[in-house]
Amino acid sequence: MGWPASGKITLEHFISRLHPDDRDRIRQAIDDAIHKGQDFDSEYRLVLPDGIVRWMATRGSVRLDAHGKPAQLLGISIDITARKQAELEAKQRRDELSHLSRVALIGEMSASIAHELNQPLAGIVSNAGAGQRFIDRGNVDLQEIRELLADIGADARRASDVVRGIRGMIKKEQMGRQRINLNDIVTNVVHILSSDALLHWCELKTSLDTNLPMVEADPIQIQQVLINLVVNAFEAMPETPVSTREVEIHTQQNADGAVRVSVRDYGVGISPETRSRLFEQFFTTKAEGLGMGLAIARSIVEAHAGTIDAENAEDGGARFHFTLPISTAA
Amino acid sequence: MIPPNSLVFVIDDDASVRKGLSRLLRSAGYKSEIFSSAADFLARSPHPGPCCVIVDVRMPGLNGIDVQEALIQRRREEQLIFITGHGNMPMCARVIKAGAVDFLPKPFRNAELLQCIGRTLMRSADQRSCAAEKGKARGLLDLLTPREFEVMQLVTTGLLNKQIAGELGTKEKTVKVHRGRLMQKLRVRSVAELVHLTQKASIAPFAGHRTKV
Repeated sequence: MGWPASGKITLEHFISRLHPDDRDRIRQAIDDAIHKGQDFDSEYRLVLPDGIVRWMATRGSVRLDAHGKPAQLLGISIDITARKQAELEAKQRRDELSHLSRVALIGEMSASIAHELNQPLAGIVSNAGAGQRFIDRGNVDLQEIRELLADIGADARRASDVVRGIRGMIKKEQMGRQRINLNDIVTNVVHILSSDALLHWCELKTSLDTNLPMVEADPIQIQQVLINLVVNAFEAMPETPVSTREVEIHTQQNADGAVRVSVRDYGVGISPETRSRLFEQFFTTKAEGLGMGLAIARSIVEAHAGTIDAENAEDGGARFHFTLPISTAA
Repeated sequence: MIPPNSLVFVIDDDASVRKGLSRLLRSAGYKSEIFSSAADFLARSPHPGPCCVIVDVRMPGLNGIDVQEALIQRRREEQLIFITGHGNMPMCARVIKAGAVDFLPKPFRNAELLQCIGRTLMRSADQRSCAAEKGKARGLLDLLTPREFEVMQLVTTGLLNKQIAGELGTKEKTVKVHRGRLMQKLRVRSVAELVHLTQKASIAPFAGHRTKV
């Protein structure tokens, strides 16, 4: 492994062989073991002289000498590279799957995307036609033409924003965990789904807790969870009269140190046999469903140390809710 | 040709579409009024001249189909052209069955939309002038006394004065006087003109004895 021939390893020598990202953390852990008498139990990366990185797990404790002073750090180290590799691959598969499910979601939203694009396109087409007619009729008001061209430009940008939004949803890179306010995610999702709501003749309402604490989460993934729940809610109401078709997104802080987001619809509700299988992979009640949406929503929420569940609401319809732990960072 | 006093209404919740359409209409010489919600449009008093309403099917609150239903319920005869960012056959069939002129997906071809508006305004103008003639004919018929009205109805069925007198149990001479007066009041000179007038007023032909329709 490239240790000195003497067999003695000094602390500094050991630390210098660690992956730079792990050094501070391990120094702190050893420090705690020495000064607080805690057991040492860490996973870290060791860089071999040929540059190869191995994952190691070390468990041990500090031996004190006759005077009660720390003398030795005794323990056992295991090479856990294979396990780490498997974990990494599992995470990659999960990410891949959640990416595929986002792409599938775009497919489900294609009608509303068309609607969203056709509005600015209609603006562009009629403005361009008006400009041509003004010119053909020979009464050109330059101010009017200038405004008209500015509107065409704005509509084109609006269309390109729609396209950019879709690309943002299906892009593969992860944003990574960051401190976010779930109310912002809700507002964004309401914006993304406003056309979809119209297509389902459905009203999309929110009631947001303005003092919501921040959570530590990947915004793209949590957005995906919420879009999934809201699109499901829309699709649960084909039999509901248009006048009562409504979806409400609600945020609140729970007593147990978590933030809770719920999505309520006024559809048929959830039958007991469906309820037990809701979050299973490949389980679906939709004719064209893949049965991936809720399974992936659950894996995302659980990877964030949160919970997800569903129930029937008091006066009809279903309520899906998920919680995420409040961020402890200041 | 744009019929005089005609007006095009646009109801769409999307600002881009409203601006674009309002300019397109102006460039084609149409007068227009633009609304961002169906409720605002329905609150406006009906336009007496020829008109046409371009309405988006899907809007928050009252949607295009609600507008169509509200107008039908109020017995208003505005002609509707539906536009939509995303439509389907059942929806198209539904609004056309309920009397819409057309159903155009956005983004529409300008020429197609303008032609459709032109056609619709002509149709609306015809409808308005029919309604005006009907009103005028009914106004004339209102001048008749109940007895004259009865005689008038029997005349239009082709009876002779003698037969009418028999029907009404009166003298031929009296019928002759009534007949002269009613022709004068209605400003018609022949039975053919009289029949034409009652048709314009859509007065049902004589349905029974001694009834005024």
